[in-house]
Amino acid sequence: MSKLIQGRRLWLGWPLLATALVLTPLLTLVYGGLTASSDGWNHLAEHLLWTYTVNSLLVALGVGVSCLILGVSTAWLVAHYEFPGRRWLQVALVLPLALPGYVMALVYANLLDSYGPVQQAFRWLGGYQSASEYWFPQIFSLPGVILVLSLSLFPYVYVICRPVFTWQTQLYRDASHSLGHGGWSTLWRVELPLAYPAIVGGVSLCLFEAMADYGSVAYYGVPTLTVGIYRTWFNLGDLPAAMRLASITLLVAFLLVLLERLARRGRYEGGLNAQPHANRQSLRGARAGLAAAWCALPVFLGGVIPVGMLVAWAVPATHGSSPAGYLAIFGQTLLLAAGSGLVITALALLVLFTNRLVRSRWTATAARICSLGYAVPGTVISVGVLAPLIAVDRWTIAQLNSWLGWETGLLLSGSVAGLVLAYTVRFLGVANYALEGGYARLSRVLDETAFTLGRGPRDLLRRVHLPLLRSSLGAAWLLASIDIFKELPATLVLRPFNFDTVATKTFELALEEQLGPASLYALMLVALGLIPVYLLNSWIEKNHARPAAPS
Amino acid sequence: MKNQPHPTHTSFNSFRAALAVAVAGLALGLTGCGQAEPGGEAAAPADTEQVVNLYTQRHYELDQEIYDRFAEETGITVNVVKAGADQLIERLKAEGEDSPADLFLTVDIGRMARAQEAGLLQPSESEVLAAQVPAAHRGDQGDWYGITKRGRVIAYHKDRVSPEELSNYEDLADPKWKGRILVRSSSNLYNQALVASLIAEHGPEKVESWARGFVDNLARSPKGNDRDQMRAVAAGEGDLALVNTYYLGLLANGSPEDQAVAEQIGIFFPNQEDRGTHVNLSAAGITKSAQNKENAIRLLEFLTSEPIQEIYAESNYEYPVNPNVEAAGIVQSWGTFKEDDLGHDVIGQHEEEALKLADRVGWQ
Repeated sequence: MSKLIQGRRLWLGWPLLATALVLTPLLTLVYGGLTASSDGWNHLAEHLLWTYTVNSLLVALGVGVSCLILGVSTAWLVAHYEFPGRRWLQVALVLPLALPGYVMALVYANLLDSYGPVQQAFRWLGGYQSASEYWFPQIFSLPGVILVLSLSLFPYVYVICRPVFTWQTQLYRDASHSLGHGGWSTLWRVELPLAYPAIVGGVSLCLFEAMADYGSVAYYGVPTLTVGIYRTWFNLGDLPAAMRLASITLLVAFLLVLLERLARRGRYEGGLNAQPHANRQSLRGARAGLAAAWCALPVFLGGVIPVGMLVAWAVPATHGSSPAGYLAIFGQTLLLAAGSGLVITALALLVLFTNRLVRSRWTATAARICSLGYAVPGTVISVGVLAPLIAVDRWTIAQLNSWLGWETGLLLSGSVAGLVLAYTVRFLGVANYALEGGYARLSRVLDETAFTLGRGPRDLLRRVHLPLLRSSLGAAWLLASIDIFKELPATLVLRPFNFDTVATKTFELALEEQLGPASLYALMLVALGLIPVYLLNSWIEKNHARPAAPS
Repeated sequence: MKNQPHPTHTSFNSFRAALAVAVAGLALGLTGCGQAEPGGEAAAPADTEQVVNLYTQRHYELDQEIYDRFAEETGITVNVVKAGADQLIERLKAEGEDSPADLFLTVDIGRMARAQEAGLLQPSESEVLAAQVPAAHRGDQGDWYGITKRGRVIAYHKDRVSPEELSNYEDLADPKWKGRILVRSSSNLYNQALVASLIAEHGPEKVESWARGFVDNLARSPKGNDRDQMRAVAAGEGDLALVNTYYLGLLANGSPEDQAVAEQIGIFFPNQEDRGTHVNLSAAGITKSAQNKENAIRLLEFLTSEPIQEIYAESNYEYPVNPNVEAAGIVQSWGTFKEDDLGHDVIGQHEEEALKLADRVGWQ
């Protein structure tokens, strides 16, 4: 089956390039962590390693379970039932994706802490003089982190599962109903098993994001592995120990990838036939109210309330400040994210296309490896990227000098190219996930037909796959772009002089405790995020209106 | 059962449009940023445009206004990269002699010592700087200069604590403060420098047992920043907080809610009977790789000059290093105090031990 046909061999360059890009920084870290002897490591292992690891796993587990419940339940309700506000909620449920975890964390900290409006009202209502007189749930805590991260991440599961529920499983659902099974029975026996690959994919994204989060856990004082890496590298100045810690994080991520692979193995990869019409059952009375309330809850907690608070804080800050500076940074971030997103999507497509073309164990592994960076915290990637970039720069400088007599400074490092590279390493996995979903629905008969008709791989890619995959490509591009909009730690370390993104401005102002201007930038972040979220939604709509592939 | 109408708009066109926008964006972005990128040839001294390249940990909006003013007055453009001090140190180390940075600016004197120890700085001479910055607040070789000072003080709730109950940092481990103290994470540089100064005074064993008592007295596990601690004091979560002086100044001039918080809080300068209150510096050092050294010195002279020191004092409530400039009115109202004159190198030496000690006693 996996015989290489002449002319396909060249395509192998793409997965090779992609794995090299992703692996070079990661291996730089692992090598550094393994070879260097480190006093700091003993200190870490004795006092902190256990706490870091357990907290990371608890955050990942908590976020994974909450996102699973929130994402699947809302996608299922919206796909199959008609209830008041459904059309509105169907779009709105994607919106929390536009809010990065750290912005959500900022909002809920200021809302729920002892000096926030909620507890002030609580004290006023209860006649309390001070916060020590009553018990109130502590937002600065592990459950607090799980809450804010779940609210901003669950739409990943929702977005990936909704099209599956809406049209992919419709035929089987109808068949199940006609065989006398009710809603619950059909859900458990037919729909969830059919949606299984999508659910696993979506939840994995949430797990990786949760593992890689730094902003929220650091702000809420929950010491996880990412906090430990920062603390060891930056506060202790012990890079080797930090690298070793990063390698452990990497190992956990790799185990997650393997688990995900195992979980998907042998599962039926979704329904092949698309049903052009989705039939929604109308809910009435209390059930309709419950469904609407359940879907509205995450929208309110993850969208309406945070955005409302940000607006309330931002409005006073708009007095006397000119919009020019804000707009310049807005535009700059837009270009950077859209451009890098495009590079990433193109690379992901080429990797997956080659895998489909060659169908070898090697290319499949390469595709897996490309997704690894997603579970690695941004700053860890930035160290891994910086060292090889500088090495390449030094080599180029020497060559330019000896051949052309040019004297130049560092070229790639400290430039936008370095950022794009870091984003590629970090977010190639996101694009991969979205595209894999599309390819799973694309019948291989198409490829065989194209070859039978004498077309080469390039024609197959351009004239068959590209048009048929456009929804998935769009989704891949948008998901990667949204993530780049929000990316903070790597951007902070690698950005060129005088280069700010909306995320770095939000972060700096939040550090400076300038809630007003920080909210203003956070709102721009949300607005920037909303454009791709809106487009994403219309693509999903499109998805259920028309089958992805004829079969 | 009813059939759902389907959207009929052609999203393929919108996809193509988006794709075109992205391609154009990428092209514009890369070329646009390429022009603004001084990491390459633009940073070379031979260029007609005068620049100074700054790696800074300071993250205040105010700073940009000051750099703009410098450019206006001297024609020298200030290029800025902002990040954490340790991240910038790692970046400087990685870039080595090719680093485009001319000046490295921190808010922790221990970190400046770390940069100095790593061989990232170079000596300099300037009569202007020698006059504007007291000898205690600059490196011996002129490889770094202090810009502003901040005291790490005890902020207390005026109704629940009387200043007579307070004495020094050491006293904060006393069981009488159980459940009453608020402080941010030990990852914070200000806390590390403070603990380092305690280690210099008492040695690591004594400070470790002090830290155990201190952590036992915390009202909640460490979180948030200095302003959060004071807000929590006002709300009643605790009675004392360890904070930097200028944060109370900022709070007192912030939103109406923050002003209400500031009114309930008093400032106490610890250790006035012995070595003095711990003081940290925001300081800048000239990098070894500096290709625009003269411009870097001019910027330093500008930052420590009287008009600019007044801006730091009046707008950010920091203590100026220039002896000819007075602190802001509200800062003066807290009174004058004796400063701990411990050397920066000593603080730098003990910061790592301070952090490990915090790990051992469970100060997050």
